[in-house]
Amino acid sequence: MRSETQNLNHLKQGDCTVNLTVNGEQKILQVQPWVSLLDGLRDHLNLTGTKKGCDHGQCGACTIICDDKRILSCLTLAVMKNGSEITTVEGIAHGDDLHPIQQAFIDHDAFQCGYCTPGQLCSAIGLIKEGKAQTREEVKELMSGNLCRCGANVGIIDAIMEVKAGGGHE
Amino acid sequence: MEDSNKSIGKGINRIDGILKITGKATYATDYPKKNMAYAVLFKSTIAAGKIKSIGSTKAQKYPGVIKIITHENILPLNTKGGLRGGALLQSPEITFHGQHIGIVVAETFEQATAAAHLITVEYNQKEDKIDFDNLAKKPEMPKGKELADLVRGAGKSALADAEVKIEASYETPIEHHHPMEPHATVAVWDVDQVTLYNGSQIINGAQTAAAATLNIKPEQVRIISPFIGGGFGSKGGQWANLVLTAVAAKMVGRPVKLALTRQQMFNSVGLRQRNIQQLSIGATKEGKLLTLAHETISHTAVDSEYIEPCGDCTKVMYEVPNSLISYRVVPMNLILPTYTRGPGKSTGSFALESAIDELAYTLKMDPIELRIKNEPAKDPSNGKPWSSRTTVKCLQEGAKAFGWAKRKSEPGTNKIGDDLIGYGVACGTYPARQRDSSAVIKLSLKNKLVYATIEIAASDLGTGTNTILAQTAADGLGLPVKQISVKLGDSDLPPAAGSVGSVGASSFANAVNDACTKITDELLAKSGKQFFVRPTAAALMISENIADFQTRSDSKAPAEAEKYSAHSFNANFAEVRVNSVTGMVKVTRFLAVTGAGKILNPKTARSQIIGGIVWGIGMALTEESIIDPRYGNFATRSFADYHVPTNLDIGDLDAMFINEKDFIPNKMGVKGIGEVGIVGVAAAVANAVFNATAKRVRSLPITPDKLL
Repeated sequence: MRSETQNLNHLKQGDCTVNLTVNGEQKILQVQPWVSLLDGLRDHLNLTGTKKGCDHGQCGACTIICDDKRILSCLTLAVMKNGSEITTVEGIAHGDDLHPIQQAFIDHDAFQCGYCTPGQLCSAIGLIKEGKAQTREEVKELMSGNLCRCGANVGIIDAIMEVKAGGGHE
Repeated sequence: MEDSNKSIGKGINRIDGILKITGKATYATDYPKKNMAYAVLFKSTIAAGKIKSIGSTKAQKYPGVIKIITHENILPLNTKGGLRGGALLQSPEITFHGQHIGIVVAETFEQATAAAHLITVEYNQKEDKIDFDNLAKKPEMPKGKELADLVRGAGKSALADAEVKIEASYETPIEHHHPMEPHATVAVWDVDQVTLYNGSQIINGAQTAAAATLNIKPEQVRIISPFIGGGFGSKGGQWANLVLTAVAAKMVGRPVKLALTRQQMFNSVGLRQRNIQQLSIGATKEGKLLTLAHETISHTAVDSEYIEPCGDCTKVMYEVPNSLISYRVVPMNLILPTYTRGPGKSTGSFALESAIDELAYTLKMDPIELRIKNEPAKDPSNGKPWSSRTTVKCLQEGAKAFGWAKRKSEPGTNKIGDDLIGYGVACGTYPARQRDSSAVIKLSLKNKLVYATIEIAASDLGTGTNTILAQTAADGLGLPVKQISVKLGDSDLPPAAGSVGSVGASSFANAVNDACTKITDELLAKSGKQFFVRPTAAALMISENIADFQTRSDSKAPAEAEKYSAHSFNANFAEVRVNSVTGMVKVTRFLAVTGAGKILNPKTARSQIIGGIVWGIGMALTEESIIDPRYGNFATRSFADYHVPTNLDIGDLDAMFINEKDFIPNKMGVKGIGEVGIVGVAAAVANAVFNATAKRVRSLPITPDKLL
């Protein structure tokens, strides 16, 4: 595991170079050290699928998968993630083959406006990988960092439970 | 009889779902533009007074700063152009804390943000009006004519003669919409034309207000809003940030992006006003209502008046010979209140339906029976016949499905371990209306297949507009949904009503349906043939071998609709568990039964109603914006303090629809579900809390401290 201090060496420079693998592609970010990973993805790499809902880590809309873990990209500086492998909503599907959680979200109508959806999807994938949440109540609790103001909560949890149970479209 | 070949009425998946689950749906800030500059607003730190000076020297010198715009150098704007909430930087006057007072435009978002922090402002402060409790002791008469006292029969004075009386005061706090997408705009000028990428519930409304405020013609403004990250009323009327982005772009000669921060959302784009509602009910011992008075005191802004009408439900829900609906206002130094989901009806029904529940307990009568006993045969507010009214059906079918019979009528007696269990019921309503809308249908024939494009300046807030319009066109043209594409969310398209006030589905679907009828008629005429069975437009395109054909229809509500009172109705059933040690309330089960005419897509409709329930649960249990009396700003200014329901807060929610056929309000028989979904929800929860605990909480939200 790389240490955080190693990653922060970039801070000495003006514009920092950050090497990332995003959705399987090599990307180079040239950013100032205070640019969040979220703004780096959106404004510098034009990956606008990941959303900004609060910029304070309170809503989960910016959730992405970084080195196999779900993280809040608004609470992460881009320079902290040099060398990391990142998956955003744009990279969840394999070509035209949707990830089972994507299909389950459609089937359960697990969104309305769709703005929190990229974060919900990444968070759900991270949650399933973590393997901690077993019951419906546990899934609800560990998905509570992702707010949905449209109130699609029932569909979101139904979709995750279905995929966890191995149903859906594996 | 349902036709299995029809698409309308089927719960198909959203046609735009694929874009939303792959990150391809584009919201306001998702339009990369070459040479884009970033704007950040800075705001007043006093609630009332005048700006003396703005110190911007340090900020001007900050790396990357392009321009700082304040009232001293901004282009002149029309402050009466139709935007809500003022704050257009046209004067140094301050009327609320957090009023926009300037814009920093810089090369990057981070530079603009950092520079905005370097701005210093000196004010001449004056006494502000922010102490609601005190001000509410001497409220003012409202200016709006629609808010004048409405007295029927002997009004409130009939209370004196009643055998049974309920007199109670209910309080609801300031709430904020907080759509997950903070309001944001990207403005791009091309000489004297401006394109504004901006989430807008009313596309044409945003266009005309922006144009009027910018002192240009509507055709010089294009609004692009194909996807909206929620609005709930806050993106209905537009706010200063829309035009300030356009002005900034004009002044720096580059495309500009301006996104409000979540903190700025508290004082930039409206709120739901605070209310004190006094309910006075007089009834006979048998439970017949004799008088019903609903007197509301609401806060509003100091320089402009808007309140949600809390007495609306009370006007129409019950048969009662004497009634009074009144409003008083308390102007405060806060941003203008605005329409918030179920405007007036959600807050008003909390008071009315709680008071009816209180009456039922006083009478020792089942609250469902009491409601049915006072069911009005016609609309009590205007004497018009109902186009149809489903309240009783909603109550009866809901009671059966929910298991209402399991409720213990004696409050506080249903205990499992530390948990007290309670059941509550409450009703709601929202008017059904169709607004003027136009639609264009373009048909084309390619490889023996007919494709249709629907064009309408409607909006889809996530309600499912795209999908229901494709379904409407599929049936109207004789095509499968997959051969239909829907274009909306662009002011260059034919003008339409907004996604507000539950008028969207009825207005848009009727416009598309009318256009389908018209294009079929025109294709028939073009063929010059007689048919025994009317062919579909799709069949005519093929049989006549027409490559391209299009028409436009301009639709209005039927004249007949005016003679009736048309509403959606619902009945809400809540089961709560209240922990007797901690006072925590959990809504374990909730069922909403809704009569809203034709349900175009039961899947998206169910989601919309469930969304209304979630909003109502937030209103009942967690949501409250608190003002810091020292400064007049909000002490609750992030999602850490303003609690919208999370996944864990949500129990088992369900929605049912009454099979209602009511073609009086409009040809399609669509009555609207967006607003009614929240109406009655908070009251059902509060009534369930009373049934569980024997404690009547008359002030929302029902936080544990109020139960211990």
